[in-house]
Amino acid sequence: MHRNVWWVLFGLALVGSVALGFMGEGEPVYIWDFALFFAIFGLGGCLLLSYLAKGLVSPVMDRPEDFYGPQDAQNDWSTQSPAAAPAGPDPVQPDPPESPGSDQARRRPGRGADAPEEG
Amino acid sequence: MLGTLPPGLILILGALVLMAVPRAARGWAFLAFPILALLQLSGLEDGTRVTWDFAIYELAILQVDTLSMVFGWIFALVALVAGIYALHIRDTGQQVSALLYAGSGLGAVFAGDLFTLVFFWEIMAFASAYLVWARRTDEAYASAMRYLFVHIFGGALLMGGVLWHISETGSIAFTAFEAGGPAWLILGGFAVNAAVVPLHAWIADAYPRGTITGSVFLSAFTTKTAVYTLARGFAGWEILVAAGLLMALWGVTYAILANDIRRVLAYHIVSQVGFMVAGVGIGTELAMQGATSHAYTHILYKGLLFMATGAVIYATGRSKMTELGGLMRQIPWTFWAYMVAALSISSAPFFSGFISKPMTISAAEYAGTPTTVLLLHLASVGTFLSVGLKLPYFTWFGEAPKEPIKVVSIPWNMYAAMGIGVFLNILLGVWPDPLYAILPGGVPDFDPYELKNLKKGFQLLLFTALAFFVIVRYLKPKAKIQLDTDWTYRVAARPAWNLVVAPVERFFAWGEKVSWEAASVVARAGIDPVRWIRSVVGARPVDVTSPGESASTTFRVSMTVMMVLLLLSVLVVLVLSALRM
Repeated sequence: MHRNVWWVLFGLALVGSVALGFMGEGEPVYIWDFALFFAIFGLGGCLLLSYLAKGLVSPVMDRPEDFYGPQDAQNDWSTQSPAAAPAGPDPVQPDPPESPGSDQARRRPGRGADAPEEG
Repeated sequence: MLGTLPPGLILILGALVLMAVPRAARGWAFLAFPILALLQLSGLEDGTRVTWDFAIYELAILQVDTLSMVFGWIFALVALVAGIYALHIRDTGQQVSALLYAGSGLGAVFAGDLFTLVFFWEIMAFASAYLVWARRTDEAYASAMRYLFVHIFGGALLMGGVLWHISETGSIAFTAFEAGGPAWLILGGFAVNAAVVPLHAWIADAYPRGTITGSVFLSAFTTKTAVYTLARGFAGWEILVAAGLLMALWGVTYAILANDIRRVLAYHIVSQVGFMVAGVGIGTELAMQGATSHAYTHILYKGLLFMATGAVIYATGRSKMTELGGLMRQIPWTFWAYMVAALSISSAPFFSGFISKPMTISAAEYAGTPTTVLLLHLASVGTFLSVGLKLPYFTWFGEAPKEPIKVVSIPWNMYAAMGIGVFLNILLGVWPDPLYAILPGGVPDFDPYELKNLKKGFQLLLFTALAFFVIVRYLKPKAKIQLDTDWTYRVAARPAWNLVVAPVERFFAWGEKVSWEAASVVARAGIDPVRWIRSVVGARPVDVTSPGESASTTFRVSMTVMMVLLLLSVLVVLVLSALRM
């Protein structure tokens, strides 16, 4: 129901914007002065750009995330977000022993630059 | 208040002071300096000029006019809002470099001469690179290095152009450039920072890898300083229209494909700066006002976009659309804040982008360039498609990932900063007069709320949305990256490196090895020269004379003797040289 209300509102807005197109304005000078030009342009432009990106650019330019090496695809947020910090020792795979200054130590929860101060 | 102290220097001196402030108070102390800079700006008058004699040059370290003031206001304001967003962090390096970065950006827009400009330009490159480094992962380290190298390259182009320009004209004043070799070099330097295609790849490489708070700062200063310098030096250069259009469309196309939410936004910086660059290229008064006001609103909405996506990353520890989804129940407020910024960037009526972007497009219309008008509208469609629809759909709605998302609460200061961003973006959207009043050339001859603009705005966005919902499955994000022009220096440069740099490196490595070996032989000989000579000539080793005393200590040349010998040699050299004179 809730979702349907949004769709109805969206439909009304579409109709309203089309009605707006027919209001006011004098003689059209440019092509974009026609009442429904931007409705068609928005619809067509969206499809055109989607096809350009997904249909033409993507097949040629897509590469695996580790294309530039595994390090490039690290996407490690543990220094920035408490949500990405490992949640305590894993019973199956215990944490390796930490040495000061090691990568493990550097990325411990709470050690992150943006992580909130402990205590 | 502080006389005619350049506002940029307030932030730079603030960065020095900040280092001495205790950790717990540093976040709050940070805010004092943008506030001071804002107060200082309010006291600066048009035409104020402060000079400083340096060698044979008179440097204009502060030169105020309407163009620099627009950028000055927004730079100081965004530094304050981003400072609130970063209030919770406890990282001296990041806080100091953020302030230094904002200060050097502010310094650059008030630079009246080219040397002062280059000075602040270079500080900006290093200070901003630190905001990527500060994430402290191998990926970020490597990305920041690439970022720095690209900016050093840009800085070198700029410096080369400036020196050439001075040698030809004898003037260091930063004014509009005449076409010619020096101007092209300087334009190249500015183009690197403006992320003009194909020199743009650094932005999509580094900004998504910066720290959560650092990227909010990054989104504001570098590219907009470049827009300012282009507006001052290259207004009306037609090549910039083509460059701007290419940027606007390249950016949106790649943004549709990007999977990382902040990479989508980074590509949209390329696209939006494309609008500004095209405006500068058109060069009419309205186009310049459009470009300037768009830089202003862009800083506001792009800052809010980076703040909202940063909040998502903070809450979830994830940044890819393929790993996000269904977050609306957990973090709805970040969605609404994000959507205000997304509607602003898409220039929806009543949001900030609506008062600036259509101004640039209208200027293109008045300049009689219909192709430019249509291509800029197409880029607008792409902007709403990826930032206004695809990103929020696959982040807050869409399918939740199989692996449940752990969501942590977002610090209050992040919400506060986003709240300010929301307020400013809506306020400016419905009440553009304060911005229009400070634009260069006076209040623009443009009314965003004319019927034809409202018609364009609503139709374009609503029908783009309709098309999106029809093809939403087709646009599903993929866990892939896309090759961009950074491939040239990340992959194709390797063979060139092996051919040119590697042999030189090998030669130096060989030289270093030989010198170390020679030094080690001398060192061994120096411990006990007599013993060493005996071992070389094959004589019998000397017996130890008494217990506890080794042969080496027995025959070691006394340090005193060595020193005396050295001093005598110096004395002899001195005497001989005195006799010769």
